[in-house]
Amino acid sequence: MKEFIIKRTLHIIPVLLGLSILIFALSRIMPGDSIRLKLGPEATQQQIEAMEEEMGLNDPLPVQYWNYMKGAFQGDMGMSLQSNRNVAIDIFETFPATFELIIIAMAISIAIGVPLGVISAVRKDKWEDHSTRIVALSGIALPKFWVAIMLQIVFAYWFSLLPVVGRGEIAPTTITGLRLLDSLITLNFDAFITSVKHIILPSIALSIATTAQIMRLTRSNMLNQLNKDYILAARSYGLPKGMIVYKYMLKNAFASTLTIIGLSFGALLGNAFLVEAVFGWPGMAQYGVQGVIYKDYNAIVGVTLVIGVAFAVANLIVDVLYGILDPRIKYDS
Amino acid sequence: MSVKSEALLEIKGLKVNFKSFEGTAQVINGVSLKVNKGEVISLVGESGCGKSVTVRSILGLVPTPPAQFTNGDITFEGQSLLGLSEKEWQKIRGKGISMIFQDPMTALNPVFTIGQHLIDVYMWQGKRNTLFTSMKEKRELRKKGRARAIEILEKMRIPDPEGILERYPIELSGGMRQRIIIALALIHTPKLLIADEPGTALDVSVQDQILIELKRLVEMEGISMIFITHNLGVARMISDRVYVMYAGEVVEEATTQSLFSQSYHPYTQGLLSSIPKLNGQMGDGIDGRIPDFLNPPQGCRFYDRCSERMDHCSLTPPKLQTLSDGRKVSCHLFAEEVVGIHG
Repeated sequence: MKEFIIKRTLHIIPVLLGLSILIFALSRIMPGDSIRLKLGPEATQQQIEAMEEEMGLNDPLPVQYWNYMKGAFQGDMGMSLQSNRNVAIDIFETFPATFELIIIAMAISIAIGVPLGVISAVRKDKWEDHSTRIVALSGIALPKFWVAIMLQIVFAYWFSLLPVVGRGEIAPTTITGLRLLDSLITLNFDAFITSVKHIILPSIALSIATTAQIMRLTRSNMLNQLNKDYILAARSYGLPKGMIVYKYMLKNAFASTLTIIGLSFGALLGNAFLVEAVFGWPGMAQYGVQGVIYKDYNAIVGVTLVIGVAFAVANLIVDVLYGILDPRIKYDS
Repeated sequence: MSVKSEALLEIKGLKVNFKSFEGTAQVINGVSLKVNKGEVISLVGESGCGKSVTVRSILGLVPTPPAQFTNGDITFEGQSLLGLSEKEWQKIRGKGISMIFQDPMTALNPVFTIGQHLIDVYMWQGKRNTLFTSMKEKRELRKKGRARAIEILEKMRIPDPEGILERYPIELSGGMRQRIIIALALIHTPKLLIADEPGTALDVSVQDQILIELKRLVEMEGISMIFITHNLGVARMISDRVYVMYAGEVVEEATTQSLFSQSYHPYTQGLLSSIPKLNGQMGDGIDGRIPDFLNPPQGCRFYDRCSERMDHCSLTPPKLQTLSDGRKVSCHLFAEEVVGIHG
């Protein structure tokens, strides 16, 4: 097992190296002139050239890449054109908000998607199956920003149950930046309740598509299990039905659902932007998209790298869990 | 074996249809059979003749729909099994009647260790696991289950039983897996064991060992057994009585000894002649295939392939009848007046 984990971890390095080169190159060949955008229409040619020189944009691309990576390892990711601060600081401030949102959305997706998938498979072609499938299909089809706005209208505006935007006024002392966690660590329950109230709607809006996907995949994997000899055998030994479904079938079915969970992590990072925009959530996804709009090179590369690392780590965890769930994987590799 | 021994399991006139888009397939067409206490019977026939469906019906493992039980009854220790609820089935499965599955490669769950398989079956057969089951009770059951698992593996003469409990199915050879599957079926010492062609997927020498082992265990524990096979040699070695099935019907029934000294039904004779000889000759075999279950022939289901068919065979289906020597056969050749000639 240890060997397996080390091997998978080492696989990440070339992936991240490739990603950084690709993103760096793309950000540099992107059309549009960020310096002109930044300095405004009044700027003189000299000012622009001076700024270009200062940011090292005149160096050959490999040199620029080398300097950037050297800085990045020391915590310097270059200056952001939007905030005039080091990108590393911006990311450090915004990433926990996005991360918290995604973790909660993921938790909701798994907690709802897996049981619904199981029920739908066990009650195949009955009303439980039909209704979950309709809900799941709409979950995939409905645009996230629309769902987000509808949630705001219904729960925040009509019923005034939950806040409309932001992460809440009462903030706990920042330790990890994840407010739910921080407020629990500092035993600040007012902050905890505020944070919970604020995260409910955005995380639901974000989780809907993933929930639907997990549900559909769990359903088809469970249906696949129904015809297996070992499931028939388990029935012939007189094992209780619940145990056959939730232990013998689900452990097999969940192994492949896990792959989708790892991949959805990436999708959630991408989709988080729309939800963050609607709910005024001060997260990194929104920061990254602003960076794209303002041609903020350093911000784009920084955010993409962080997303890349997060995605790679998420999939590493998935791979390891996969190896634990299904002993056959270890032997294949 | 006395004729009047007590019946453990009895199937009477069982008919099972399968509904599909193309129509209704009459897969089991009036099968009757009986297993006495302590007896081993074989169910012999080629693939697709309804052996598996028959025995799966005994365990309630035939899904309805698509299957329909249109006629007949199955009784086990005097209790009628058809129409039991899933909960009532659960109590019988594994304890009253157990089954050994055919393919050792697919009958074990790949993501659980052998120990988890055995201990779960020991702990939860016929029970329900709820949140409110006492943890202490569970711990004790698990301990007992482990001890019983080791005991049964030792009885199966499996080396290092404690080590095997920690293994995953993928780490074991086919022969070993087949033994584990037998151990799973025997862990509660059932009264009736159904063996669905065990060992068929293994090479002959391993299969032989396993069958000898199985026969020894069944005799030792006094378990009755229904043994399904398409191999007449195996049936001869293992069973007291043989039922020959063809296309969802029992065509001949006899004690093993009398069947192999003289078979009556042309299909049985064909089966016997299709066994390859050790002198290099291939068996003769039976031409043709099992008839279409969607449109079964009006008369005898074996008519198309029969070497001794007569005109009226295609019109009226024969009935399983008891001959004067006590054997049963379903063929027009043995209508009462001709018994003397062929018997």
